[in-house]
Amino acid sequence: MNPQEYIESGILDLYAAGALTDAERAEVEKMASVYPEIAEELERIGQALESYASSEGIRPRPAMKQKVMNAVLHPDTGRTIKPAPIPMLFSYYRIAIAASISLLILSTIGMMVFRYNWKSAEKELKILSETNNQMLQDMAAMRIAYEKEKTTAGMLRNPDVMSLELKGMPVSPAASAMVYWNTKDQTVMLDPVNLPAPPAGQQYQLWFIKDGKPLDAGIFPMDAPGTMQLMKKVADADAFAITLEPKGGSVSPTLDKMYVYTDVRL
Amino acid sequence: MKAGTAKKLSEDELTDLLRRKDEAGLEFLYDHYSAALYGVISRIVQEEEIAEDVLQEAYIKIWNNFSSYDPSKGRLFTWMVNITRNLAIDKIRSKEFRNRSQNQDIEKSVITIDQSNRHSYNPDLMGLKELVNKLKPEQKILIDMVYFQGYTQAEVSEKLNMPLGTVKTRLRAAIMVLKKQFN
Repeated sequence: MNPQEYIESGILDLYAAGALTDAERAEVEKMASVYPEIAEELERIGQALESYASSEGIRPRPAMKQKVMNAVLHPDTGRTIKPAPIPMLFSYYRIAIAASISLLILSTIGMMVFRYNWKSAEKELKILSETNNQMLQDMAAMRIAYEKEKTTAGMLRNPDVMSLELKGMPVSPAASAMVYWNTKDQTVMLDPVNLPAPPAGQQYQLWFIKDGKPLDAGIFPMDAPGTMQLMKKVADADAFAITLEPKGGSVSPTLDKMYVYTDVRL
Repeated sequence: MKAGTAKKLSEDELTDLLRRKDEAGLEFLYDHYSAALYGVISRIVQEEEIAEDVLQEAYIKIWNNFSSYDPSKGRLFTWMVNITRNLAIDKIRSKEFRNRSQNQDIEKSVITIDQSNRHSYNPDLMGLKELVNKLKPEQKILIDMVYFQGYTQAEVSEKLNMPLGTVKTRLRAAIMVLKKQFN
């Protein structure tokens, strides 16, 4: 097989993407060592994937750097061993004896000790109850997020659904949103992933652009973050965008308040 | 702690430092690749704590096994990504992990596909950020599943209900788009 054919078979793409078995990898490496054009192509693909991976990177939190470097360079400083709780046994006996003596001889003091413990247990219970409430709230929020992600994952699997990432515009470069457009049944779901809270009296509106004309795809509230919004149906579109409009929406978009945008056909 | 290695190192210089177990090499490796590697891990391991563990394990393995890296077989980064990806996949497959996940409430392991507010801005790629994602959504999903998450093409075909031939063609098309973008 000549090297050009080999390259065109696409096996190098799979190699660079890590999709080959060990035996297949060895075969590719052999070919690369024989044919310089294959080695060059591997290098080109590798570079492209590396740049892509870098651009799709996610920074770990800053504290990780020290943690990782320590773990690599000083592997022996491991976890501290907790001291065996032998001293506690002695304290337990002491407290038991003291308590029983108190109760026997000084029943009043004994009652006071009892009451004090009761009060601090009550306090602990209150703290626990508040923590529990907080956890319930967190769980509720996570459940919403989970449901949303289940929907999202379901939509990503549906071959009729086009998922589009709307990117931040100069007005808000860090903003982003996701549109899930079922090109078969025309439903549009919007996930306002990262839009700033709108000022009072204003509201975000989704537009789709067809033949250069922007058309309304619906307004949506931002008061339930993390939930997917069902928008108007869209039969055909060249692009999607979100602008900030007065509450209730507008007939045509305020172009200098465009927060996110994406082409459909790139 | 130093602010970070700003000096650019060639791949040769870097591999030299790493062979000699020079700490400067490790720091460069962390500063320049931790985001890319953490991106790979995060797409496989959804829990942040465990993803951080895997990142740590990856660097330990890369450092300790560096003598097994053969430059004639490909780029340093390709070698590192493979190690990282395999560690992440092993982690989610390990019995221990599966047991833990079953015991925890589902609510505790929220899947976040949205990572857009944690993207790193690699200064080398400033200006290129706008060009990124020239990939069509259907191409991007494939690259993400194969390259980042380590699915085989057969698994992708099954999961997405896409004929295997289509998977192959789209993957090739995706890589061609990336080559054009980044070369």
